[in-house]
Amino acid sequence: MLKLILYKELKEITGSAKFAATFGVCSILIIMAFYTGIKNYHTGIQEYNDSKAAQIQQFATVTDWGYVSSNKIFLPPEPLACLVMGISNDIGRTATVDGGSHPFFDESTYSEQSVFAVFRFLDLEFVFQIIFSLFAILFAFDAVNGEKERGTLRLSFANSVPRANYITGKLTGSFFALVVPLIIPVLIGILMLPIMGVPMKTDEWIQLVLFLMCSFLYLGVFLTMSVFMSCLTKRSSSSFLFLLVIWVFSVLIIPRASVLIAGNSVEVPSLNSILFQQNQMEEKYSIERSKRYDEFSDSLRQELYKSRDDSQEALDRYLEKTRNFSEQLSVEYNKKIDSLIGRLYEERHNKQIEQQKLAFSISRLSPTSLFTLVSSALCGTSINLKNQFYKNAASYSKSLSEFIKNKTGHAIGTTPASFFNQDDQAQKKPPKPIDTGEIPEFIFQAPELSAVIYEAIPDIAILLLFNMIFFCGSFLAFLRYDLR
Amino acid sequence: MILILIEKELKSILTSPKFAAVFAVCTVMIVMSVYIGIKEYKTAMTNYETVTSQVTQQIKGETEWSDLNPQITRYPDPMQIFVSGINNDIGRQAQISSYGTVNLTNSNYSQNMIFAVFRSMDLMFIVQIVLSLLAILFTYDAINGERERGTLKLSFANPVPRISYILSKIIGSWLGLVIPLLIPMLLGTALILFYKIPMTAAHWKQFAFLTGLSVLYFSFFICLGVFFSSVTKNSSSSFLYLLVIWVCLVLIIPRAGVMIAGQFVRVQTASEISSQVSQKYSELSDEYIKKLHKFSDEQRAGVRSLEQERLSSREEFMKRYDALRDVYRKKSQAAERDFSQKITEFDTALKEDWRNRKGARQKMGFSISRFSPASAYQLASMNFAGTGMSLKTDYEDQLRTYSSLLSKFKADKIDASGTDRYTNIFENKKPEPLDLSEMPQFKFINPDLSWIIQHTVLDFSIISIYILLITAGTFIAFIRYDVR
Repeated sequence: MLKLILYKELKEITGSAKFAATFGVCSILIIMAFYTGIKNYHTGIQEYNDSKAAQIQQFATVTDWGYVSSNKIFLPPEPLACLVMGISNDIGRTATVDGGSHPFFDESTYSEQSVFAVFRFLDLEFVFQIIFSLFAILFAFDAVNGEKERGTLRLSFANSVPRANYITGKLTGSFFALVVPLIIPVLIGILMLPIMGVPMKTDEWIQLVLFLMCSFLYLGVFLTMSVFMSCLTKRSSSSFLFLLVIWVFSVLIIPRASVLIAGNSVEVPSLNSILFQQNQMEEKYSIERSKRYDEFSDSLRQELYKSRDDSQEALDRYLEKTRNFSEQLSVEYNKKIDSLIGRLYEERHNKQIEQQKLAFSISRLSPTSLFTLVSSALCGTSINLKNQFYKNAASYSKSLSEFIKNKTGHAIGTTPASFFNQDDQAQKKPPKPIDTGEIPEFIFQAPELSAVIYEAIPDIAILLLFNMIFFCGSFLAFLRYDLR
Repeated sequence: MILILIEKELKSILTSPKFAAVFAVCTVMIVMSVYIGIKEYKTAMTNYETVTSQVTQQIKGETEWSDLNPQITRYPDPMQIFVSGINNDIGRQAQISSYGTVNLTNSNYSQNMIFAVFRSMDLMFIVQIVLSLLAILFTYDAINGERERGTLKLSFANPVPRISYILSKIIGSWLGLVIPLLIPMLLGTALILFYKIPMTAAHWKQFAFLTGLSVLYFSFFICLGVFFSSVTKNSSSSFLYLLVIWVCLVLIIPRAGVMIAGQFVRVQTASEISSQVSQKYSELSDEYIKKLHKFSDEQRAGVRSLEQERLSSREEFMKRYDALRDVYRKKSQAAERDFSQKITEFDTALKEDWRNRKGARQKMGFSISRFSPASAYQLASMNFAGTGMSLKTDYEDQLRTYSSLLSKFKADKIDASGTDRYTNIFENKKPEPLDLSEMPQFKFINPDLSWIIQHTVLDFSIISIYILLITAGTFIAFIRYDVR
């Protein structure tokens, strides 16, 4: 009996003009989302390579390793970001590292290429999140009350059909009728990835499969919710209206309202105030440092004067001592500033996490927010991408600092050697340009699969829960439904 | 006759439960969006005031004209409450340097990622997405619905001219939907007054134009709904077609236009540009340092020959010594200005080319996307709110002009004082605070209304033409409509 109802439901949906139109639109949208995503990925890779090459080119004529102390590193495009862009276009994709623990991030895609910020991109997540959820409602808003209006519900129950079987058939039938046809364009899109040269690792394939499963779970929420609503209402026009209002709240209002509430509840210190404090501290220490340096240098000069030794060796010794002292001061003050500023950054980070937790917790009332969070987590474009880039950049900054120290013999932030040796350089043979191939390469380490899944699991569980609630709700509502 | 028909149409819309639900949702959304906008504006204003006072404090502590490199923060405009546009995507701060290179950095979304996850919900977003969908929801069955219910036949049993009937349908639906929606708009305006947002006369004019544009856009979807209900027999078919068209017009075409342009016109990344500038900077800086060393050697040689002359009078020695130092100072200042001018010229030329390419891509992208009235509406409303693409370019242009003005001011001050950092060090003078009363201040000049109108005429015309075409189509279709 269940098979028969399922078959009837499938036949009814797939044989309708509604199905043909939506299937056509969905197929075009999915394939278009894959195609444009892949194209964008390649453009991103090209831009990434060009930026890296331009950065190296910048150092091609440099003759002192000291100039490399302020280096720019770039966030490579993530292959799965072509399907779920998340915040990848909002975060600064360039970090300036100068040996300190707090790299400066800038040049987000949307800030530098504002034309894309106007309408934003059309990615697979957007297609599922907005368009397919609307189509899911369109398919199932009259699943039960529509049959009642047409009089076919009474006809069906003129036979010995158990209500439980009928509603299960309705739910599974509509789900398969919506999901199975989507699998075809999705498979075509997946095939396009290797064909069009997107390098996917095993972990990324697993993440992609999980993302697609979550997308279907998300559609399931809207589908079961629609069937549930059609069981609760007498007329299909009413159920459609209610569903549309719920859709507007779920897709448009709750996610934004949650962020607003969190923004008002938890105040995060602005980056500007930290940078200002940093500037003030640097200024204060700079005066203190200059004073100490002058005192040291004066005492050495007087020593030199008293010794009446005007040989080149004595002068070199003097220069060497002042240079060492300057370096010692730099290290000491940089440490001081780092520890004080580090505390401010940490405080800001903690507040941001608190605000984020609150916003996301409230937003989880909406299945759309859940889907946004889970899909961006699975595709590596969630808010964690920024934290990951930050960690990677900070650790690169340290290794760059070590590298420069090895090359120049001085820590970053001390006076460049060229200022001391300029006379020598001018008189002797011209200095050789540095070998840019030696500059340590920045390699972005994406989070491991286990970490990604760990981040996504709570949201997947809530999506499943939503499905179950609406499924059970439909079941219960239909058992009490007045068929007349 | 026409008045009776309009009254009937108005009554049927206003007394439906659908209207009550939709009106409540729209009121909540519009009022909420204005409230959110006000909150965001206030936060931006507080942030602006904090940063500006910190910067003022910082520059008051400067003792050298050459160190006067203030940070400029973008002034929040009240119109961003209604249309956020690219306001959150582009940088909010710019560091004015002596070398004329100006970049807006630290965008709101890159610093506060949580807001980038779900984005903002402004008035434009509600009109563009939600109200357009609701317009369809109210009009998709304007004609074929009456036919399905049998009331169309009844109406035409009386001597009703078809022209009057369809005209009253359009006018009735328009009045029934537009006038009630003006109520939440008025509530939003009341909120603006209540929170004492500093709206100038120009802002109110822009807001009035924005409201007019929104009504025009909303009218387009009302006409589209009536048109489809006149060309189809079943209301379910017209709804399906309208939904597919809505998805294409509102969600797909705007994004696709810009994405297509992105594939055709390649634009260098900001990193590539800044790397080229940095490369030039290091080349010119080397040249500048060499010049300084040359001048220093010349001065040293001059002092040595002065010492060898063994002048009898100390006054004579000091006079000639000062003259030598003066020559050095003038030469080094001239070299610094030459360096600054060269780097500014290089940066300007490079960025002009970059901007031209960006402009070409933008023109192409927007031209394609203007096929959709939703894009035309968005672009025009962003222009009215001053948060369109010109916001970034105008700011950068005005900042660049300010930067050269400030450089000239600083150069004049340095010339007039006859001293610089080195003179103070040599002469062991205590640095004095600067008299900043004459320092030029940066004030962003918003585009005037005539400029805005000039740049929105095209979008106004596009939407108007679409309305005219669709209305004409509706008339033709209804004249031929089978009312049975």
